[in-house]
Amino acid sequence: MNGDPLPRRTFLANLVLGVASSLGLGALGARFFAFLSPPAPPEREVEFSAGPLAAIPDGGGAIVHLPSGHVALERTGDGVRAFSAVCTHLGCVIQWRPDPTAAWFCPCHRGRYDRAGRVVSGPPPRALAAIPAEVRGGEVFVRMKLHAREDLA
Amino acid sequence: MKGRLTRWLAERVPISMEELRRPLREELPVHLRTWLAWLGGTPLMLFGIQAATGILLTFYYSPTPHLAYESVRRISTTLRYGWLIRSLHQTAGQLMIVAVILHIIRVFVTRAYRAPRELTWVFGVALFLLTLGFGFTGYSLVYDSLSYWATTVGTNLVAHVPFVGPHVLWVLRGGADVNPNTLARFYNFHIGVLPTLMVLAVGAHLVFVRLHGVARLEGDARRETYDFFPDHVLREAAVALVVLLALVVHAMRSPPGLGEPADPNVTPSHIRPEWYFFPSYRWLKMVPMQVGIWTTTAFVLGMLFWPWLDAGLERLAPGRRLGTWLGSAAFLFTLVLLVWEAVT
Repeated sequence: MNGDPLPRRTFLANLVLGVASSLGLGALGARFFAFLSPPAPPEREVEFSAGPLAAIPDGGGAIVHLPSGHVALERTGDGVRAFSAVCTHLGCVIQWRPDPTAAWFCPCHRGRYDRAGRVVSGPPPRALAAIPAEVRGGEVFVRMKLHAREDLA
Repeated sequence: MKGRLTRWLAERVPISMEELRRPLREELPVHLRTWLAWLGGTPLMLFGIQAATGILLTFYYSPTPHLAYESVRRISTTLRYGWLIRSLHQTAGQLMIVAVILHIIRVFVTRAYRAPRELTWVFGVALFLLTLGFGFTGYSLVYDSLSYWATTVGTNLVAHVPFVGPHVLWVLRGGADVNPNTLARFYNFHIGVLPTLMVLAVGAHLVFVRLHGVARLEGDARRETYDFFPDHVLREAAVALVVLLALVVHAMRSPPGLGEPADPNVTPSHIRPEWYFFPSYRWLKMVPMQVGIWTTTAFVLGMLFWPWLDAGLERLAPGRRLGTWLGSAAFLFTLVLLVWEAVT
C-alpha cells in the first residue's frame, strides 16, 4: 500500500474478476456439496406381516425386524400395540423388559418407556412413534413407510 | 566430484542452507526445561506412526459392510504381523489423544495462548478436534457390534442440532440410516479428508509457533535461554523415544480384540464408546438432549476461543484469574464425568 489511489480501470477489473470468480467457485462448491447429499429414495406405505400373534405371550412384548424398520410389538389379549423400536434419543434398538412400569428399555443411555410407549425415565425426548397395527386371522399386520433401497454393498 | 554434485544441486534447488537452518537457531526460555513442555512433538511423532500403519492397513481393509469386519479379522489373525500393525495403529491413536490433552494442559496452565498467540491455540484446539475425529471415524471402520452402534449413536447426535441437524446427518451418513454409504464416507474421512486437514492445521500451528516464538512465563523474571537445536529437539526426541517404547510394548502385549460382527437389528446391552468420549456419553445420559447439545457446543466453542474468553474475564476482574478457575473447573468436571463412566 503506497497510498496512491487505485486507478478506476484497475479497480473495476479487480471487482469484475473478484465477483466472477466468487460466483463461479460458489456455484461449483454448491454442486460439490449437492453431490455429497444423495437424493431421498421414494417411499410408499406398505402393509407387512409381523408374524403370528401367538409368538408373543399375552401381556408380553417382542421386537421384529422388517424391511421398513424395527418394530416393538406388545400383546394386549387378542390385540396388539405397535411402536417404532428405535429409541427417540439416539437411535438404538430398544429391548423388552418384564417390568410393569417400564416395559421398554434402551441399552444405550438407559431410556425407559412404559407400555404405551411414553417416556418413564432417562434422556429420550419423546414417546416411541406409534405404528398402526391389527390382528387378522391370528397374524399381526403393521402399516409402515418403506423406502426403496439401493443395493450399494 | 562432491563439489560438482553440490553445485549441480545448488543450481537446481536454489535454496540457501543458511536460510533453512535459521528457524533452528531459536532461543527458548528456560521454563521449558520440564518434561511437560517436551510433549509438543510427541503428537506429531504419533501422527507419523498413524500415517505409516494406516497406509499399511489400507492395503487389506475393505470399506463395505459385507467385507469390513472380515477384513479386520483377517488383518488381526491371518496376515503376518497384521495384529501388530493394527495394534500399533489403535494404541498410537489413543496415545495421540493423551499427548494432545497433556500439551493443551501445559499451554493452558502457563497461559501461553495470550495475545498475540491466539491463533496458535486455535489451530491447536482444531488439531485436538481432528484427533477426536480420527478416533471416531477409525472406531466405526472396525464394524463390529460396538463400533456399528457407536457410529449410529454418534451420528444421531447430529440430528438434534437445531435447523441444520437432519440435513447434516443425511450428508454425513449418505442416507437416512447407517448404510454402505456411511462406511465409505467414514473411510474417506479417516484416510483422506481428516489427514489433509490435519497436515494443514499442523503446518499452520507450527508456522505460528515459529513466527511468535515461545511465550515467556508470567512472573518468571529469568532471562536465561537455551537452544532450540539441539538441546530442546533432543529432549523432545528423548520423550518421543520413551513414548515409542511404551507404545510398542503395549501394542505387543495388548492387541485390540474384535467383538461380534455388527448386527443392525440388535443393540448390545453394554454399549460404550472409546474412553475419550466417556465424558460426553455420561453427560448425555444425565441431561435432556438439547441441554447436552448446547453445553457440548458451548464447551467446544469456549475451548476454541479460550484466549479471548480469558482476556475478557481478565478485564472483568483484573488479577483474579477467573479464566484459570473457570477452565480448571471445566477440566475437572470433564475428568469427573470420564472417571464416573469408567467405573460404572
